[in-house]
Order: sequence, then C-alpha cells, then structure tokens
Amino acid sequence: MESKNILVVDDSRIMRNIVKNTFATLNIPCTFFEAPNGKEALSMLEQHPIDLVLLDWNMPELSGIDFLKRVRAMPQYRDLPIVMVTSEAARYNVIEALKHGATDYIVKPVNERVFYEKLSKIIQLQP
Amino acid sequence: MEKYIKPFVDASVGVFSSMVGLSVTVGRPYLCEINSPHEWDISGVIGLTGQARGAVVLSMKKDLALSITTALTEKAQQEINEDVVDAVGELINIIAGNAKKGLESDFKLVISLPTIVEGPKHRIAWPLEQTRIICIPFTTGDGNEFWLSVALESQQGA
Amino acid sequence: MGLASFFRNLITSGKNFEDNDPEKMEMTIRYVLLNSMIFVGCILLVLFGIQSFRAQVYLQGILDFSMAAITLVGFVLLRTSASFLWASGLTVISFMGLCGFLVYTGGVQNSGVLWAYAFPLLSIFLLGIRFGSILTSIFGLFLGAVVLIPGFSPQTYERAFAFRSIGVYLLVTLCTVVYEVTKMHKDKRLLQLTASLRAERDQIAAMKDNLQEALFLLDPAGIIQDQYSPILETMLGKTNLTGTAFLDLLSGSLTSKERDLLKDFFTMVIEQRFDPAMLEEINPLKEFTYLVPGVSKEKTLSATCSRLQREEGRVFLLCTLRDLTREVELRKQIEEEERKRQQEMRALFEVVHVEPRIFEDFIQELDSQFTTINTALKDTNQDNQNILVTIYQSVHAIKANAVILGLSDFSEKLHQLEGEIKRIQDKRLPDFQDMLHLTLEIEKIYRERDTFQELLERIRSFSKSSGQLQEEQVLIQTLERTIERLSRDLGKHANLSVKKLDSVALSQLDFRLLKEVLVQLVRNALVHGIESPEERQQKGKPPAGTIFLHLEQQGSHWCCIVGDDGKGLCFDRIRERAQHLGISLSPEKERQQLLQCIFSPGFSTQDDADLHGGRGVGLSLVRDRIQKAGGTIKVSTDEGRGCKFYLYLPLQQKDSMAAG
Repeated sequence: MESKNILVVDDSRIMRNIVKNTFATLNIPCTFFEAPNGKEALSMLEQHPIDLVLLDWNMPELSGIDFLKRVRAMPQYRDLPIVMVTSEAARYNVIEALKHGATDYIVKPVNERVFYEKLSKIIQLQP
Repeated sequence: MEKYIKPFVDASVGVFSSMVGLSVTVGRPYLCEINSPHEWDISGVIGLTGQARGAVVLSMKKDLALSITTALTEKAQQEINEDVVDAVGELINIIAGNAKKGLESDFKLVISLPTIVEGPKHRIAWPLEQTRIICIPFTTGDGNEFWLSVALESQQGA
Repeated sequence: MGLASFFRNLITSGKNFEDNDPEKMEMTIRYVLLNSMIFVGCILLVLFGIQSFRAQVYLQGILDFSMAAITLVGFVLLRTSASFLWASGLTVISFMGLCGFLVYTGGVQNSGVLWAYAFPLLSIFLLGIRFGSILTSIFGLFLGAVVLIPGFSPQTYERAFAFRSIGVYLLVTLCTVVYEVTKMHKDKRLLQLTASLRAERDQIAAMKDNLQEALFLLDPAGIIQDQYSPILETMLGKTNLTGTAFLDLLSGSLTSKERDLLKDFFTMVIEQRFDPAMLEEINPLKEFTYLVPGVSKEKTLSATCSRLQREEGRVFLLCTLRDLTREVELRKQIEEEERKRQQEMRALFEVVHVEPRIFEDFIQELDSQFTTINTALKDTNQDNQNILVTIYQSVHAIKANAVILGLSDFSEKLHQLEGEIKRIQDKRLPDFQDMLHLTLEIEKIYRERDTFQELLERIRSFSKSSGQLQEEQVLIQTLERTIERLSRDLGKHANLSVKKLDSVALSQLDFRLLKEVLVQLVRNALVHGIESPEERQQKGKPPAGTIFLHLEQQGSHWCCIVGDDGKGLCFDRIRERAQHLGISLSPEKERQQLLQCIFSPGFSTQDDADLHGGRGVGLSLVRDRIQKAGGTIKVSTDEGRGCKFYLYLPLQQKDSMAAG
C-alpha cells in the first residue's frame, strides 16, 4: 500500500500528537499534516492531496462542524473520508455530524482498538 | 441537581483512568463560596450554555498538572508551560464532552472552548449569579488531589 | 336470488368492480355492453344459420355459425383476465366482417346497408375513441365504395340513395364521437373533483383526529352524532358514543338542576337568541369537574358549543371539549406555593418589623451553623457517620431558632432535612450519592438564608426601631418568645423568671453559644419537664410552670443555672430506655449513669419525634457545645418537683463558634 496523507485537525497540540501516535499503531504507512483550526485545515486541504481527515469539533476560528459543512459543499471533496475525533459524546452531536457528512465518529479519549476498527476499513477503501 | 453532577463525576473518573492512567476516588462533596481563597495552581474552565447554563471547573496543583502532561506527552515536564495549559484544557474538554452524554436526556448543551487560569490564588469567572458552588474533591492513586466544581442551572421553564 | 346473481355474474363476466370508483364502474358498463352484444349477436347468428340451412343456403349458414362461434370465443375471453381490448377487438372486428358482408351482399330487401349504422356505435363504445374511429373510418370507406362505385358490389344503388346512406353514416359517427368525447371529459372532471374532495376530507379528518380538542356534533335532542374526534372517547372514558345523549354522560358529574340549566343553554344556542359573546359568558360548561365512569378519577374539562346549520336546514350543535386537568393542577400548585410564600413573608415581616436585631441574630446564627456544617464536610479526617452527627446538630439548632421566629415553612423544610439525615445515618455505609444529595439539600436551605438577608436589608432601610437592643434584652426576649410559642403549641403554661444575669458574664461569654444552649434547655424544660396546667393543679402546683435562669461567677467559673418546677427526670423511663438501647448499668453508680444517659445523642424517652422534640439530640447538642467551649454540664433532679441544669464555663472565654 502506498503512503497515505492524513490531516489531523485539533487545537490542542498534545491531542494532535496523541491522535498521530494512536494512528501509528495501525501500521499504515502515512504522512501527517496538521492544522490547529478549521481555517488552516482548509488551506492544508488545498495545498496537499489528503486521504483522510481526523477532525476535532471545538476549535477557534472555524469549528469542526463548520469545516465539515464547507468541505462537503465542494464537489471535489464529496467523497473525502472525514472522521470526527472529538470529546462531544452526546447523541445529538453525533447525529448532527453524520447529517453534515462525517464519514464516522470517534469519541475522545481515543483508544487504539476503536481507531483500528473504524479507520482501517476507511483507509483501505481508498485506492 | 444531583443527577446533573453525576455525569461529570463519572466522566472525570473515566477520563483520568483511560487517558492519564490514574485511578481516582471521589471524596465527600461540600459547598464553597464562589470566590473563596484556594490553594490551587491551575484551573481549566468550560462554560455550558443551551438548555442549561453554568460552568465546570477542574482545579489542581502544579505537581498533578505536570504529571498529567508528562503522561500525555511522554516527555518530562518541569514547569507550567504551553503544553501543560494544553493538557489541562484538553482534559476538562473531554470531561465536559463526555458528561454531556449523561445529561442528554435532560438538556441539550453547548460547551465552550476551555479557558485556563493559573497562578496562585487565581480567580475564576463564573457565569452564574449564585453565591455558592458544589465542590467535589478527588484523590488520585498517587496521592494527589484535584477539585471538580460544577454549577448548572436549567434554562427551560422550570 | 340464485338466478339473479347467476345472471349478473354472466353479464359482468364474473368480474366484480367496486361501486365507489368511477373508473371501475365504467369498465363494468363496458363489460355489460359487450356481453349483451355477444349474447344478442350470438343468438341472431344462430337463428340466421338455422334459417340458412333450412333455406339450403349452406355457405351462408356455415358463415353464420362460425360467426356465432367467434362471438362465443369473445365471451370466454372476457371471463379470463385478458385485457378487455382482446375480447372487444375480436368481437368488433368480427362484427365488422359481418356488417361488411351484409352491406356487400345487400341482405334481405337491401337491408344490408342498415347494419352499417350499428357499427360506429359499437366500435367506438367498445374500443374507445382511437381504435373505434379508425375502424369506423375504414368501414365508412368500404361503405362508400359499395354504394358509390358501380360494379364494386353485386347491388346497384342510385346516386341519391348512396349519398343519403353515406350522410347518415357520417351523422351517426359524428354523434357517437361527440358523445364519447364529452363523456370522457365529464368523467375526467368527475374524477378530479372526487379526488380533491377526498383529499379535503382526509385532511379534515386528520386535523380532527389529531386535535387535542375533541370535536363532536349534537343534534337538537342532545344526541352525539357519528364522526366525532376519537380523543372524545379518551376524555370521557367511554367508547361507542354515537347515539348517546351527552347529558346522560354527565349525569354522574352534574346535579339534575345543573343539567336542566345545560339543556336550557343548548336550546338558547340552537335558537340563536343571543349573540355568541354573551353565550360564551354564560356557558355553564366553561370549566367543570367530570367523573370518569367506572374509575374513581376526576378530570377538569371545558366545553364550548355553537350553532351549526347543515344541508336541508338541519341544525346541530358543534361542540368542543378540552381537558384542563393538567392546567388546573399546575394552577393550584402555583397558588398553593404563592399562599405559602405569602404566609412566610407575613411571619417574617412580623418579626423583623418588631425587632430587626433579633432577625439579624438569627441570620448570623444561620451563617455560623453553616460554617460548622461545611467545615465538617470538608474535614477529610472525619468519616461520614461522625460528620452526619455534627450536621444534624447544626440543622437542629437552626430549626429551633426558626420555630421561635415563627418561620413555619422554613422550619418544616429543616425538619424534613433532619429526616433525610437520619435516613442516611441509618444506612451503615452512606455513599457518594447520599453525601452529594445532602450537600445539595443544605445548599437549598442556604439559599433561603440569602432571601432572609435580602429581606432584612430592605426592612432595615425603612425600619423605625432605633437603638441597639442590648444583649441581655435579646437573650431574655428570645427565651420569653421561645416559652410563649412553645407553651402555646403544647397547651402548657410557663413563665420565665430571671434571678440574676451577670452583665460581665454576658459580655465575656460567647453570646451565641449561651443563647443556643439556653434556648435548648428552656425548650427541654417545657417539652419534658413542665406538666399541663391540669396535671399541675392536681399535684397542687400553680397551673403555670416557672423556668428560672441564674448566671453569675462561682469561683474560677461562670455558672449558669437553668431550672424548672416541673415533674423532674423520671428514672424509670430513663432506665427503660437505657436497657432498650443496650446500655449496661452498674447498681452502685446507677443514678449517676442514668443522669449521664440523657446527654447521649439519640437518647430520648419521647416516643415519636415532632417539631419540638423527641429526636434525642437537644441535650447532646448542649453538652457538645459546652464541652467544646471548655466547660462542663451537670444535672440535678427532684422527681415530681423539678430539674436543674448547671453549666460551668471557664472565665477566660474565647469565641468558640468561630470558623472551626
């Protein structure tokens, strides 16, 4: 499998590191790109071809859910896998995210097993 | 009001255990004057709005904050720095987000971005006008303490 | 009936079409028409065939019989599920052939041409406008050829005859087409109308069925008509309401006079004698209590009615029924709470207006007790059971004060809180939930304190009373109030007698402590010591008891004596109670031990607890407070004559009630 480009979006640097480390346990060769908020995530997306976005919800400048809405409005990103990785655990949050096009939803604290179950399927779907 | 507090207690226990790897025990809750003097070094504040209004505050001393950050970054921390602020903020964010699930049958809540306040005798800006808050003390497996203070008021008609 | 239904089955090919659908009805008509044609045609052809064979024109006969056979095929086809078009097409084309033959050969006395006129009718009716017109036109051309082109057919026709025959053919065709087209339009229109009517009806039914208000119609005799909202059955607790008299349903809920009134009211509505606004005002059903039959449930309902005129001049009453039970409940709740609040306020005003200083004292006491409570909660060195005792004592003390001030609502809440604490104490291992619950209940009580404080501030700003009451007066007044209130509640009579109150003692001693302790002892004396006036008279005592107070220095201590001339301590009861609690007593020191017993928490010789006593805490609280202040308490009793408590406090007094 060739190397995948993963975009990690979270305002906490520590969290981004944790997400990266947890993802690494999947043993999928990849390159990580990072953004601390939705706005910079959008520009990252424009600059690099991304295979998977791991997206937090509560961030300054542009929140995760607004980023999601904007990206899904752009036809070239209609099928881009975007997985929420957020502390928002309530069902109405999950429903809202999925309604706006999130591919899947992971609740923090992150856990290797959940990452494996949800993400390995998604990333391997990519050609 | 107590069923509003329980989700926060459960979330705290869960988050400390799974993220930081510390087992914590809950102590006896008591009342605190809203801005009475305290000995904590750092507090993370998350505001709650929506069908209820209030805030959740996680307070602890420097040592615990440092050891939490060390556990999360896998790098030894000596002083309160950017990473420590990040870690405490993320911790309270996850506690609040997870607690929302326990409250979802009663309220639909929106949580704010965390604010970190630190320094000796720091003051916390509570969004409610009440004079007292409920403080819940926790003790960690390695003998440290932290506080969770919760104040929540329903905004729906009673 | 058998024959009729057999006949019907035959003529509709056994297909049953619903009456309500106009499209289906049209199909039925077509089937009937085609079947009739087949029968008639078949019979005719068979007759012709027989006749031909008789006349020995065998070819014709064979033709006739084969035509008859074809029509029978058509009949069979109709009975199957094959499309109508097959059978009709088959029949029409065979008929076309027959007509063509007859036209061509001229038939009997040239009547062949007459058959042509039947063709457009049948072909258009059976095959519809499109196919029918096509076949009709083809046949028309054939007819034209026969009558106009000499030599085409064996007959010869005069020009005049030819044109007339063609003209009539065209006329028949035209009329048929026009008829068919207008019928088609009419049917389409009818379908549209039916559909929209149905949609409207469904919409209205949906609204009616989902409305929380029940709609129903009453005829002038007060009978419920069909087509009522289903929720009516739920509201009235009865099903199958059609045909029931509405007034009968209310027979359990209204008196007969009320029902007569209602009858008159209905009549007024029907006769339109008054304008609707006026009727609404006098509506006797605006809010009434309804007893659900068969269940002992009561509901509050509201009904309105108005006059409705339908087709043929029939008049009805359109009524709506609403269930107000929940609203009424809430309203009552709010009114009740408001009333309680008002009562509370009145009590507060009474007190505060008279002596704001006393009220201020009360609040300060409250604060001090809260500090004690909260300190206990924070103290991680104490286990839950211990602090529960501390908290209980503090709540008890606050309650005593609240009772004195006449704050019945507040003291009731405190009494309930005491019960809660007791409940948690009874659990061997109270858990986090319990403690949390307790903390929150305490917080609620705390919030009342804020209200009191607010009130005090407001009163102060326009209070007339000037000058600070001295501590001595506050103490005496408080004790007098306590006695007055309590004796009233208990039906006893007692007076306070102050023998001596050393003012130096008062200034040096912790005032709050002293007041708390003295109030408890005085209450105790009244509840347990002083007898009822009748009892006292029987014993030869004055009907009013005396509680006396003495405070002065005795050596290196302040000594405060609180005594009464009541019935004293009853050792038998104390002994009984002690044994019941499993306290062991040694015979030599029994008297002393029994006297000590009364200071134990939970020890009470009263059987059940009420606002005033019986939880067994008052004296233990007193001893605790005195001991915490570095003092001691002793009791001496004279059975039947009275009881005295001696409080010894060290001369150097620090404020022991400070934030512990």
